[in-house]
Amino acid sequence: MHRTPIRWLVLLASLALLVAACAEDDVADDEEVAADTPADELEGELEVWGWNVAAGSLDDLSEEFEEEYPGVEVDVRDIGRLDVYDRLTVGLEAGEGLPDVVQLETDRLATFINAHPDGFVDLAEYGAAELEDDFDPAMWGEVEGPGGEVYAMPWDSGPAGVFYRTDYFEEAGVDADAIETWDDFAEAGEQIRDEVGVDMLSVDMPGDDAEFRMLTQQQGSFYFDEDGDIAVTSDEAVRTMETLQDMADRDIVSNDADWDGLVSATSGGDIATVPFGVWWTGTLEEEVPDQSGDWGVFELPAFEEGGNRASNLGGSNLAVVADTDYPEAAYRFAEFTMADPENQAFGLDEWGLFPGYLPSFDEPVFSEPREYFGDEPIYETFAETVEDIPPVNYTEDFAETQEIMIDAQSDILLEGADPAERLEEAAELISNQTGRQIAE
Amino acid sequence: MSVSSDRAEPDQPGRAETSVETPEGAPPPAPPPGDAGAAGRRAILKRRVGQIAMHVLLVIGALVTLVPFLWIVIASTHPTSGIFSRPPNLLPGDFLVQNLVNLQAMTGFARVVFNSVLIAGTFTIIGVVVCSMAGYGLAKHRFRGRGVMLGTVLLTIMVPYHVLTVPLFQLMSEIGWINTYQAAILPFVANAFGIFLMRQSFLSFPDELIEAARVDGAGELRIFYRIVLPAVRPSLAALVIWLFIFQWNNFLWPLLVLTTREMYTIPVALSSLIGLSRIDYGAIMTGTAIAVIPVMIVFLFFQRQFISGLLGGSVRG
Amino acid sequence: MTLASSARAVAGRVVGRSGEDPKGSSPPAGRPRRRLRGRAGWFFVAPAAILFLTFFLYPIVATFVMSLQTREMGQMVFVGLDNYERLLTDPVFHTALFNTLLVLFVQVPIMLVLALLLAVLLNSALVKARGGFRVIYFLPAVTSLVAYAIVFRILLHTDAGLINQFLGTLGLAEPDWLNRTWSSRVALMASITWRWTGFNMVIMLAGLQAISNDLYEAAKVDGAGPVDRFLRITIPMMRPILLFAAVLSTIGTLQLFDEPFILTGGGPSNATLTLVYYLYQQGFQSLNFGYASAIAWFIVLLVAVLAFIQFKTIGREDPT
Repeated sequence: MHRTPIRWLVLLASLALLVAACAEDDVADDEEVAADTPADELEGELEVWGWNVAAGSLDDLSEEFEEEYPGVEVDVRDIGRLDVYDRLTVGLEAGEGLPDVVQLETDRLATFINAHPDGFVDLAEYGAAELEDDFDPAMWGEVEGPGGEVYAMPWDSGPAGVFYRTDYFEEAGVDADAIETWDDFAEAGEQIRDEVGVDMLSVDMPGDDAEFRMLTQQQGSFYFDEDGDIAVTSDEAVRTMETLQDMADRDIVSNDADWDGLVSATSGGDIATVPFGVWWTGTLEEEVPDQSGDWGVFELPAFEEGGNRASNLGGSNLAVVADTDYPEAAYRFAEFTMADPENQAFGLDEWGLFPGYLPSFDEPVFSEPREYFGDEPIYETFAETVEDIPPVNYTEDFAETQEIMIDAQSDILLEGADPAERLEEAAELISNQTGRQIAE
Repeated sequence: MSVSSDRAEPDQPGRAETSVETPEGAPPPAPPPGDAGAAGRRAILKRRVGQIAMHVLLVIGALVTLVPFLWIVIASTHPTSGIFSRPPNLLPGDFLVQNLVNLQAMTGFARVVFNSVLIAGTFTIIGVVVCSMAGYGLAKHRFRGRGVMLGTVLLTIMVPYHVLTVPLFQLMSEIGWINTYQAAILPFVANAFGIFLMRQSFLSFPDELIEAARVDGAGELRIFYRIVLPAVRPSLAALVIWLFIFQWNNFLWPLLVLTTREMYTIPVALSSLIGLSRIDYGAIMTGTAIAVIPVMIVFLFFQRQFISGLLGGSVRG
Repeated sequence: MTLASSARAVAGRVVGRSGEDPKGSSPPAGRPRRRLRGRAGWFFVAPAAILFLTFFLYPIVATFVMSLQTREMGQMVFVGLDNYERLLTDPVFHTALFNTLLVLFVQVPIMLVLALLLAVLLNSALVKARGGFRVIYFLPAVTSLVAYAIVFRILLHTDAGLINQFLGTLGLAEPDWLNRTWSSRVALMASITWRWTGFNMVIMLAGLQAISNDLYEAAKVDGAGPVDRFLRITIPMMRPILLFAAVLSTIGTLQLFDEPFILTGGGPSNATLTLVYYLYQQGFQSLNFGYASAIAWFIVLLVAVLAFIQFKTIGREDPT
């Protein structure tokens, strides 16, 4: 009995070698590309993965697509957001069980492409490169590879603004138009706290750094600079953390965990503003219907008077998986849904997905008044900021870096750590974990 | 010093506080009559006080345990906006039916519940057979490779499940099992915890009784089925409960191998309701509350076994 | 004669060798039964063995191979023990290890003692409505995770949460539950205890039921009180089941993922990051499956050592 564990280990080890010897990577061969099959001759069955509103919008559009391409069948599967990633991750690792088309958030895109460069179809082979000028340049930059590859079609973006309770502002005598800088914002926050008794905004202090990302991008900075070096010790990053810490110190920040925390703070009327991406519109209209008419939108305050007031939070893309049997049909589907003004306008109107496809900005939905927002045409406000949104470099190390930055934020906002010092520490750790250089 | 077995019939209601059951709802056995007197009464009083204290503690514990769950039940009767109101809504609302309708529309929940019951039920039935047999073999038989087998059993639960999913998924697609019930059921059916639980339970069974049965000429399977298995009925009940909730709550594996909505299990379907900007929490709460019902039926049915599993009785019969 | 020796003698008689030394007795010599029993043994474990070979051999080996690899330019390449070396110097991994061991050494003992006490109480004829209590205590184990997370976050909210409102009425301190290092750890451990105590209670109930009533009767005759009986009979007789519960909780804790994932997201500042959560971040979020597999095999090693110790001490048996 005593010898068996050793024999067992030997067996295991030899099996390990055997598996290693057999482990070959299936590399997709370069295939001949015929990209101009007429619509009525194209055939295929497409499985599309997305989640929630995005899947809903694709599902709506797939019927029209099938009319135009009678030989193609589209099956849109509405899978939860994290579930799409779990499945895609395992599928790409295993090289099996993948969809033809998949929704990918902008900040995750680089991670997947870097780990599986052969996992996605280069859409440039089907003519996607010609669409470049029609898309928001910041978004196009995210889907384009160094050699001109197009790894996905940009879909929606999240131009940022401040959603605010008009009734609270009025009650406290605060004029939203007069808020030009984050200092103004914090002062208004104190006034509202004193007059109305609610917090100015909600931050998920130990769980999400959305505000940090949004505000650094506003200043043209981010986790990384354009060379991929670590930029979290930049003046912009330090200033962002200081601004957030200042607001927390002024006691105008409600700390709410996760999405449901923010929704409950909002629906409970506990916060006066939500500085967020445009897609928050959908949540307000859907989940907090009884506050219709109480909300308005103004541009993000700047860091100094006259400074940039545009930024972005969130956004996603549609990629074609290399494993597909019908790459051309899949591309056509992506083109049909993503690069068509009417279809994109439909997505915004019906599902709150703000297009990255610029020709759609002329559609009526952009200038229509929204009842929920006191009949203001809020999409116009967001659309005006789009060209001023600075591009950012997410890199494949986004997820790992985000974890580290959330920890830093948590220490700064909750434990009163010094922003500059704590960010220095975070930069060291990011450098350790990712092997990247810290920007000078 | 030896205690003969006729001294206390196993079936006879005894008075040891720690081990003997009376039928549900019946009053506890009365203290022994006849020894009345001051000391006796004091002892009775002391016991009464202890008994009341026990109940108070149990009730407090039960309340603490129940609050989060009751909250889920109440939340299932509100729309999402009502769930997150502050202060929280502590009274039931009138949105239960609408939540149910939404849940059915978004996930096809009736089919999902069917899938869960089918998968967890089949898993449990096969699992009980496989685990109890393996546990018995490991506890009561000596054979070459027993150590390796026990090591393997433990190894399969030592390796974190998350990293096993990639190669296991590869294996499933090689054999064409993606999106089939068997892919959700079979890989984990030889449940290591179950085998280990049964092994530990069989360890306490007297070897002499097995030997005696062999001398009487009983076959090994018959000994197992007729003599040993009945003696561990409470453990079998625990095994059933374990296997059922393991599979009932199992999330990542079914998520990976069950790829179409018609095949989803409850946790997978509820998780699919979570998007980025709109989440129907009302429907999720309702789904959670409903999901508890089948498990509670299984539990209520099998926990009754915990009353009737005295070792001696079943051996005699 | 002392009570202990009489109880042990009874135990020895009723349960044979198992409680003390499962390998102590050998089959009677000179019978041909030995070989037969060997074959019968394999017959019983065969279904499980076949299932393991089919579904686990390849994944386990493949995971090990992956732990020796890393991804370069989209391809997995061998890097020897690099991933394991990284474990030594990765501060985040060390934090995760600390957090996990903290739960193991603090929460698990509390939960097991609670479960044992509950099991004894809910096995006792003196307690009314035992079935009802059992159901209530077991309920948390079947609650879906998504809902569970939402409810606990609402209960634990610093300003609006029911728990702090309750503590406030009692005039007690209102901790900033999920936002501070130690309070978030306490909250995490409390929620794990909430979810798993009832389940352990069921396991222990099953163990209690297998103890013959004769033992208690005999001890009573010897004049043993309830506490004596609990310590001298219940605990020794429950040894195999206690071992099972301990090993199960150890493995469960070293693979703790669900609770921190949904409740705290590992925060604040990694205060509740566990080993498997870190593994998930590395594998499923950053797609470093090589490093994730190395973490997995570190966990295997740790569990093996701990389980060995538990077999020796609680189970008093010699694990093969």
